[in-house]
Amino acid sequence: MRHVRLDQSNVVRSDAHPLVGYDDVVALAPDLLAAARYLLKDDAEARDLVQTTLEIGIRKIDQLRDPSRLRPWLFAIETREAFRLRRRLTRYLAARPSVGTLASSDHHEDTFVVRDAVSRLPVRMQGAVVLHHLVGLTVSETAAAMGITQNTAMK
Amino acid sequence: MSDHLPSDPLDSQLARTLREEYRRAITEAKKELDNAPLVVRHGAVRSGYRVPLGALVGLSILVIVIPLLGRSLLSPTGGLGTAASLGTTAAPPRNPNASLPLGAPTSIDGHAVVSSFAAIDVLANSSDDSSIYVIGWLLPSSVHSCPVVRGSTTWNPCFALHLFPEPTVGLWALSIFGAPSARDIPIAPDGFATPLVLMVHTHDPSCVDASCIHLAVVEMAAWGGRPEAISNESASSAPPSGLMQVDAVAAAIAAAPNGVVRSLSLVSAKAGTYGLVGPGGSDVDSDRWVWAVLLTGQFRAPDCGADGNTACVSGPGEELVVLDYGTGEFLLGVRSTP
Repeated sequence: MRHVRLDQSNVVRSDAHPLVGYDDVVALAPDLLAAARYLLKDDAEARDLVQTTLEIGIRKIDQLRDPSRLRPWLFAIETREAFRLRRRLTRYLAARPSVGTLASSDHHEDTFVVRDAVSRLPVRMQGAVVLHHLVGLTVSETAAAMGITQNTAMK
Repeated sequence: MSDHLPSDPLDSQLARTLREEYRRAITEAKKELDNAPLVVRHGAVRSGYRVPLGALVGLSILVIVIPLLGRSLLSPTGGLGTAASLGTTAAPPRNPNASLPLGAPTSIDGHAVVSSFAAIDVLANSSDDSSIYVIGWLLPSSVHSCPVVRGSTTWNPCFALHLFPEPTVGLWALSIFGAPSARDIPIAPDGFATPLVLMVHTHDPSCVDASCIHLAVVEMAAWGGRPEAISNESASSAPPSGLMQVDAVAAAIAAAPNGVVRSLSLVSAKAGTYGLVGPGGSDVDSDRWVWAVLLTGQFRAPDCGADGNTACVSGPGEELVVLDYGTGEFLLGVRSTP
């Protein structure tokens, strides 16, 4: 039988990670959303991606072996989900090219330029650039998140 | 092998620029999420519990929440702004005691054990923090989903436990909030519901206003029975194709005309014919099945823009949102302030 404990902040925490809870996961939402906007062109898709990532993260928090690795772990989830989503969207985008437009009206111009540039990279390279150069994951974390070797990630 | 890519000065400059842009993007995202929080399903939601919602996908929110805020849709005197109660229900169980587990205690240490349904009145009438024993069924996924809230509070409904009167995901459950002193609460494996007697109290010291004074705060599990497989049958007499309560609440929050800015609480969510649960003075057919969801919180002022400016936040108030029972279509919203 599993147990949950209600702690001081009333967050249901798992026995496996008494130091990681719901708040810790959702606190990374802005970080995840910023990255999602580089991984997916469509803003609504980016928000959905973050939502999905947080849901998976909360559901699978027990699988996080090292609580200090929460951030790269969540980004690994987000990246995998983004790639999965892009594969699904590819067919849709082929039929509906307008879907891919970037919602940029309220975004900083430089941010738009960077996003646009990143979006033109091949998908795998795009993931590596976002995770390493923007999010700040190490090469090994980037490789792990993308399911590739470190050598491949460095190319 | 190095964990960082070798780079020349030009690459370093580019990397710094990218990081700077990314930090700006995070700030922008944080601002957006403060104004329009994402919705995150919380807990082990199994597909078998979901109702196909079509247009509501992505909007599914919140939990089954039953805070007591001094009004009742269950009370015999019923209706908004009347007698206090704790409940939110689509249709109360036909027989609240029908599904009590075999061997369940009827009293503990001289205190009567009350069903989660009967606890509504017991909690509402409590005048101090004396222990109350409540029996019901705890489902592993009874917390279905939750908005990303700003910070956690003791009375955040997202983290409440929900005690069902039957080993099934029905439309009704009693919310049990946590306490720092709470001991471990046993949770059954997925697919099973645990019969529990929870020792709870009201008037918790951490409650500083009337909105939470009668809410049940768990102290410990006083008794636990053998888990039973969760049934998909509900005791509700509601039409079978309607929205579940969690989804009705989600839809109501999404449909609230001016949006809840902060301090969101669900007072009640009741399904029934409009004539029974809806406010008067509208042209909605009184026989139409609807969800009537009463929310409290601070709402965006009617003449305010969408920038989340503090000045735009109105005082505490309530909003009754009425939705079509089957489709979740927004029918009307009634705003009131205390």
